[in-house]
Amino acid sequence: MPEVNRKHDMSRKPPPFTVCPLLEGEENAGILLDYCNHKLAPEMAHVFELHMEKCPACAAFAESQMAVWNALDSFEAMPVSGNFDQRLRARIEFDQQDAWWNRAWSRITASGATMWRPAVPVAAALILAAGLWMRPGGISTPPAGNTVAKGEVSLDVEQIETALEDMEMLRELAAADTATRRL
Amino acid sequence: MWTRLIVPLIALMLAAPMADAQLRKGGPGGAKRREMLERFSRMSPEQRERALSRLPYERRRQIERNLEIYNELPVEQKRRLQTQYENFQQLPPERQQAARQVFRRMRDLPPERRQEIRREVIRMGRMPEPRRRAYVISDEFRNHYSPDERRMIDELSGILSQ
Repeated sequence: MPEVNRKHDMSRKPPPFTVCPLLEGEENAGILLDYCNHKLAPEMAHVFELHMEKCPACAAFAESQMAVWNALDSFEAMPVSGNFDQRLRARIEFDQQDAWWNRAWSRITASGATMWRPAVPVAAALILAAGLWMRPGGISTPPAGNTVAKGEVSLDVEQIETALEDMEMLRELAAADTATRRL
Repeated sequence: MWTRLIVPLIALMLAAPMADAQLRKGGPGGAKRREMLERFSRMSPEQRERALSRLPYERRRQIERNLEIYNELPVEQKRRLQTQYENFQQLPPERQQAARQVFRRMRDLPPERRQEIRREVIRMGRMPEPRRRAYVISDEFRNHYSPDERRMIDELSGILSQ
């Protein structure tokens, strides 16, 4: 049974290290981390320092670990610009006001499922084509002649001319029919 | 890459039969053309003038004249005319075109002769076919109309009585 164990009551006098904590397994390796993080009880810390004098592996580990902590302690975050909060809020509002299809598209393209992504434009084309197929009357064929856009349907002046001519022809014939009936 | 090719391909495959069907129908039908005419008649004079601006003056004047007559028709007469128009649209396109051509030729005649011809067409349209054939070669008919007028009457009554 090892002499150093984290399960030891720290208030009692700690036993000297007889087995290196690096070799003791996961539980006692925590002693090294606690020491480096200055969380180890002073008595235990003293015992560990005595052990490190004889154990270069623990000494090297502690040194490297302490270097990391010291580096992190000396790290200074970059200063934040004065209007950072204001800009952040504006950006969040902008994203929330973005068009629903943009948000939906972002969600689709941001997801990890790349397998079905190529199917999205195909599906969109199929839906569009199905819509057009179901209401072919909605498509106006480009007329050969003079056209005028009026609302959704373009007016073909030549078709109108023919329709008016036909109407006039039929009106004259109807008038002649009425006249001959009277005779 | 394949999606870039397949999307226009699918669109083309689906659009082709529609375009083909539209072509076989020979463009918009009677009701569609009538709707177009209604929309045109509701346009403001400025819009109408812009719409007709690319046509030669004579054609423009003729359209304006015909539209004026059409717009001034009483509601009931307009409705009857619309029904007759849709019936006329049921004729084969070549017969419709032949009737229009005869009517265009008639425009060169004096108004009273045009009226006389129209009445003759109606009378002949009511005749049974053998009687109509006999009447066309009769002296009464020959003496009353010029060769050109006779041709117009014969053609038009033939088109409309079939």
